[in-house]
Amino acid sequence: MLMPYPLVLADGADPDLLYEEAKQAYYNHEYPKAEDIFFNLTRDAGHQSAFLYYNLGNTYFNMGKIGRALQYYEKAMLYLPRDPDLRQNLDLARGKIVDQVTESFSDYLLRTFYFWSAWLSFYEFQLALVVLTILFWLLPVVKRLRHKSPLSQTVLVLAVFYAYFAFGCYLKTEQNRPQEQGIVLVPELEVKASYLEKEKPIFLLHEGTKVRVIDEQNFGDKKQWLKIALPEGQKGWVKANTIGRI
Amino acid sequence: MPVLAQVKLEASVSPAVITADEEAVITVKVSGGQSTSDPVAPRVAGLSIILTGRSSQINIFNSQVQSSSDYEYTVVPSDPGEYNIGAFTVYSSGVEYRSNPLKLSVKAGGSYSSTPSSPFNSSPNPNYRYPQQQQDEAPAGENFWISTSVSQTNPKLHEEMIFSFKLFTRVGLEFEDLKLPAFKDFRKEELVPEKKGKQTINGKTFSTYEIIYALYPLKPGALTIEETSAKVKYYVQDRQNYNSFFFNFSGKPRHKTLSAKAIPIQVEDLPQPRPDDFTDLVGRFTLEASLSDHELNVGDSATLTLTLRGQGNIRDARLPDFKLSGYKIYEDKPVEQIDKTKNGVRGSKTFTLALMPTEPGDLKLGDFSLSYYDVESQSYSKLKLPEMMLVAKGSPMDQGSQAVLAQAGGEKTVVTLKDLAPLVPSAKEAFRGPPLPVVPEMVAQMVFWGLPLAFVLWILGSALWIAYVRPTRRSQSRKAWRGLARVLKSSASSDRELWEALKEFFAAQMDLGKGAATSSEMRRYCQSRLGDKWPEKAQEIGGLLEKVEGSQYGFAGEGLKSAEKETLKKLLKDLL
Repeated sequence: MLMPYPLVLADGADPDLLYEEAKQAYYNHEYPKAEDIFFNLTRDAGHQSAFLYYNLGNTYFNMGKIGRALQYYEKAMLYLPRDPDLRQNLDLARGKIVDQVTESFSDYLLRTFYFWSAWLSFYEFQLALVVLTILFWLLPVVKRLRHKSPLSQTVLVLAVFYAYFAFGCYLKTEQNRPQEQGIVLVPELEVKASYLEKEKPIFLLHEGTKVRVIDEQNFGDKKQWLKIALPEGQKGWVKANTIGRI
Repeated sequence: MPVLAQVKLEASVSPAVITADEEAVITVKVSGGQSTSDPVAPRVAGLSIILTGRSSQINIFNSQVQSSSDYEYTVVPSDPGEYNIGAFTVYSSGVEYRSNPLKLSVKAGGSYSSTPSSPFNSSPNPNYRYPQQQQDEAPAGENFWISTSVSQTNPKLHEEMIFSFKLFTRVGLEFEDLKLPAFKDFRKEELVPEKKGKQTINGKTFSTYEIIYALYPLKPGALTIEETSAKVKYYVQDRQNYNSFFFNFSGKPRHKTLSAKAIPIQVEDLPQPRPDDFTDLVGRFTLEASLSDHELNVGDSATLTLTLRGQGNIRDARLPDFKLSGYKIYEDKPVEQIDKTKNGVRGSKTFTLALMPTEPGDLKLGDFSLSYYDVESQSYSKLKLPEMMLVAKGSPMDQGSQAVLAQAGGEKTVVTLKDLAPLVPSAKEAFRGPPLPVVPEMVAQMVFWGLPLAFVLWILGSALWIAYVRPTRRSQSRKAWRGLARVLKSSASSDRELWEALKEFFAAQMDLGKGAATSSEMRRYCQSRLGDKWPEKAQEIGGLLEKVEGSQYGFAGEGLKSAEKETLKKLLKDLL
């Protein structure tokens, strides 16, 4: 059951009015203004505003910033996997990616053996697993307390289902671990073998490509580098401001 | 019936007088006999006698079989002197046959009688861009050597040049180690990975082994193709097969390291100014173009196919920035068709572009061009598209209803028009929270590692329980039941014995200590096990237990009768 989120902005402005203003700006093609308001609303509403992420994704899409659009659609997708509008717009934005990145093995397993998992958010998946875990451990304990064998056909069937579900959750966790997913934000991104400025690029990525962030190095505020990896196994370093974290 | 001729051996040496730098050839002719062994060469100090060729023929003349074989030996002297070469020997049907002895005079000093011409001069094909400049001349008197060469030493930047490594040999040998140059500052493409052949130099036949690369300089200035070295193993006598020199050897192995010098290359930069549409393409090329549609609606797409053909660095070919006002352009992955010959890389690279008009209008595609540096005319050449018109109809496309370009199998470009779904209509809806808060990294880590671990622990725990705990309980239970059954069956057993056996049985069932069950616990256990299904059975057992317990203390009359014992046994079986 979804509950209305009690939003209060720091400067005391009415968020409903601000929202209407941003919407008007959006439909008047004043995308920078819409972006500004939606972004502020998102920041003040915190991470819980998946629908605002969606609106920001739309705004960036119309500004031609496909990388940013994908970043916010993917963020929203963590919370709203069954939203048809979000799915449609995400597909639309993904269609504009230049790089054809091969699907990772865990993505393949999820798509093939856990096709239904696309309709559950990561958090719903985890919640379901917690319930299943409690059932799984409780049933043998109850049976034991009732002086019955803790192993029975029911428990074994439940164990198999639990194993299947737990492995799915493991895959889903790998796919959705916070702070590890990123989107290329610049039209062309030169990926280097190390974080030295003079290093020659080893491969090139384009805006919108999804990468995994596996390491980072900080040399002050403006000299942050991220180590990224592609599903094919290629790895390299890029400047942190070229990647949008999901 | 054919009759075999008698075996005869004739040996001859030519020339009979040589200098220490030269070599002579001994020919041994073996005729007659059906099967003879190969000749055994005599051992002569100061001379290496190496089998380098063999030919044979069989004639039947007037019912007489005449077979003959010619064996050719190369004689390499190590010192000057007069040498008596003993007889060559063959065996046929257990009989030894010997040739005539020979004399060889080796004079001191002197030079190679005639320098071999460049091995490449024997290639008559005028189209060869293949190396003409020999790096190393054939070393005088050597039976094997290596050489490296390039088609040119002053190429232009990105211009294709050919590098060749070649081994010449008259003796059987094999590579132990081959170190080709690293080709730093060049892009390298293997043209001929391994080619074997024969080449005649100054009347002598050499077997050759060749590797050819196409090289493309990546920067201007003085570059170097590093030294090449090859460590080889060869055999000095008793070689059995001249033609296949990389296998089947016998004799004493020797080792030698051959080397070819580094080659200096002076790479010239391409002339300035470079055209705007120049993308480092150097060679000779042509461009073909085709358009799938000449008229389409705004939002639809037409496919423009550009095929670049020619010789040069075609693998590096890319299109210049291609911007058309009012059009969105989506480029597919180019497709290459490359032919590699010893003269270089030639072929085609096909670029596929989907052109999608975002507003109506006419578009002339003839304005597009691509420049390359022509190595023959030593100037930039411009490739232009033929005049083609693309007409877009309809109304301008909204930014919010752009097309999606999807790649299907890497071949066809499909365009599907979809609308961008609208914003969330109201603030109330937009501000509502998602179902669950963000799971922190630590929890995610726990799920990531904890669940598989928990499951493994569960499997291990279950396995241990099945292996050890359950069998122990069962065996105790079975033992207690056997004891109780024995007491119930025996008419001589006392009520006390029966009570003790019952306590033992219930304690085993309830997994308690030995005989630790009390009468109330026994009754509760019966109730919990049988009460739901058969309450009357539970009650009956309870009554019988009470009777046994009472009888042993003397306040419940006599103990159980045999019929009651039988009933109790039947009832207790349900507890097992």
